[in-house]
Amino acid sequence: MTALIEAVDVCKHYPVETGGFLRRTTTPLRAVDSVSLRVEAGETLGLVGESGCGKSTLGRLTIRLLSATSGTIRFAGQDIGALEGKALRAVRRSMQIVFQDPYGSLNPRMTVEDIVSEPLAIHGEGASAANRVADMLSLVGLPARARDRFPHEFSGGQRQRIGIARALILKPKFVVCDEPVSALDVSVQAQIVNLLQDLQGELGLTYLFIAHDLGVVKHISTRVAVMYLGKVVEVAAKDTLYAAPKHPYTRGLIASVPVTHPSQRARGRAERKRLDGDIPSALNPPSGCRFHTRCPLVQSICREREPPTTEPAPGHLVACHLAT
Amino acid sequence: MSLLEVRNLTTAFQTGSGEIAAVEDVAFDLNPGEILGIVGESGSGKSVTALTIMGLLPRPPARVAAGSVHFDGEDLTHLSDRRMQHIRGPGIAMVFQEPMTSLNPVFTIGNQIMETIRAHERLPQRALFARAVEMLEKVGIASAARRMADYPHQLSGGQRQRVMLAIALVCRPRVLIADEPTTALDVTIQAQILDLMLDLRDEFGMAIVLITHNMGVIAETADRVIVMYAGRIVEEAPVAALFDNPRHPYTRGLLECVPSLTTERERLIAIPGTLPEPMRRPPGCRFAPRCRFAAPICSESIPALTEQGPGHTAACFRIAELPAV
Repeated sequence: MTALIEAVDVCKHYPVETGGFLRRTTTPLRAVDSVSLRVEAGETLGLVGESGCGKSTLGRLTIRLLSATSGTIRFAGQDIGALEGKALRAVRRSMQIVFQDPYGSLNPRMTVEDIVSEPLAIHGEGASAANRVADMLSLVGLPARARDRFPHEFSGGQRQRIGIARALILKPKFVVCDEPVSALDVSVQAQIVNLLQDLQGELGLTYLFIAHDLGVVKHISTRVAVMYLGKVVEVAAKDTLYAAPKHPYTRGLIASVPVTHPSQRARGRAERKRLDGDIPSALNPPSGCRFHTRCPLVQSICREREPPTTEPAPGHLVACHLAT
Repeated sequence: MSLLEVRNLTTAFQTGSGEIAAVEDVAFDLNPGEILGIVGESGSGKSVTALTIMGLLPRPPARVAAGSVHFDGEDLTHLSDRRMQHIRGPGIAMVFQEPMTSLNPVFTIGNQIMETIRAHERLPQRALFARAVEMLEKVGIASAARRMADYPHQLSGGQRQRVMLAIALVCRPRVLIADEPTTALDVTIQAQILDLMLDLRDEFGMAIVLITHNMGVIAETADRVIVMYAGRIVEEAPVAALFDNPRHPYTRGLLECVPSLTTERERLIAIPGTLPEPMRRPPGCRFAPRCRFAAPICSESIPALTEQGPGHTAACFRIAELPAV
């Protein structure tokens, strides 16, 4: 397998002013802290974690919507952090994003045709726009008459189809799907998940699929990465990760998912190793392993030393002192 | 004897294009100590039902066009605002989805809990404070006495929802209405809040109406379930019967379309189409345009709820023709 996206030791720190009125200092908020991750060509890498863990920031770093504070991100072997001007624009057409909010991410004053064809105009291919917009709309399951309408005339699910059409019209290789179904009604989510899978097969896309819904991620992903407080704590093939998670955080996350049938309820409550407390602040992350404040298995080493990432089984990466 | 009896409730809104019924002909009972789940998606009328019971909809534009809500022998739809204020709190309390927007950002959480007690009881300041601290401890806020002075922005989303529960429960209500109480929260925090609600139900013995779009939340908590679609109840059943033997095609669709950790499918079974807007609800069965079992009769008249088993009703013309689950 070849890596389409390869992130090495990537950090994204935001300076935040803290302290009182008289003792103002700047503290870095470590949204993404020294993360290494590969996305293989043709796969869907699921990225899960609680809100504030840095998963959206990492997604945006991989397509350089945000610039990394340090570290390297390679797209098909090319360091995208070093690119500028024309070269950056050329690589950008291969990397697109589908956003969470189909209401906020579409310009309400533009028609569907303008929205979907705008990337073509930006990349100097406006001449062929009319035909390609028509093809794209039919590909995402929108009627041809949709092109002259405005976003507010569509339901949430249809708007997400418009957002997908816009992301795919440049025929990208890599698409970041940032919570693409979480704002949709549950009966509509399945349509969009199926559409994304169909398009992946037809167009040979590689996805980074960011979501907090562990069921959707399990369904769509090839491999899954789990983030906690700016760090990737575990990566494994989907079936391995859900059946035999090694990191206590992954276990807690999976155990928190509601049961699927009321008969599992009593067992669920007894077995549930629920995670206490909230995710700590990224401004002042805990020492050692960042998960130690909530970890049911915490040892003294966890408070002192940051766990290295190990590979206890081929392709199964975990950052925990206790994982074997 | 049920605690809350909702009968033929229809709530309508005055709009620019005429009056629209958001909730139509809704009826259910709530028994002491039970958890009734109301499942539905946006526009199903589940929140409007809750707000009608609470008397919290602005009138106009809202209006109870038909039906009644009996609590303790009184019809809440005909009470004065003054009388209703005495019911809210010790009678029926509510928690909302957005703990940030439902808490007042300029008052401390202690202040907001004590204000609720003060609205119903005369107590010296020290006793008020002690009651509020006790309640914060019950909902699992650590070092509660110190946190009384915190403002909402100093709390995490999960802690804010705990504070909302404290405010709702501090007057020991007999009914708690929880409208999507965990939807804005992470799955780990959702599990904490659901466990907390179950514990508090056991301790206080109140009945809970739990409104959600998430079948997993229902599977975790509810005793009995009502499924709503486009303003009407389409199915009601004890929780095990609903999951084992869903009768309405919409209920079946909801149970099938969400991938769980145990499903193994190449493709998800999607429900085609979208939810109808309240102004453009189809004639006949509201679900007919999206239903793979629809027949001509389905778009002609509205099916009534018919008995499917003990405590189990569903509103569908095609039930006899549906394949077994």
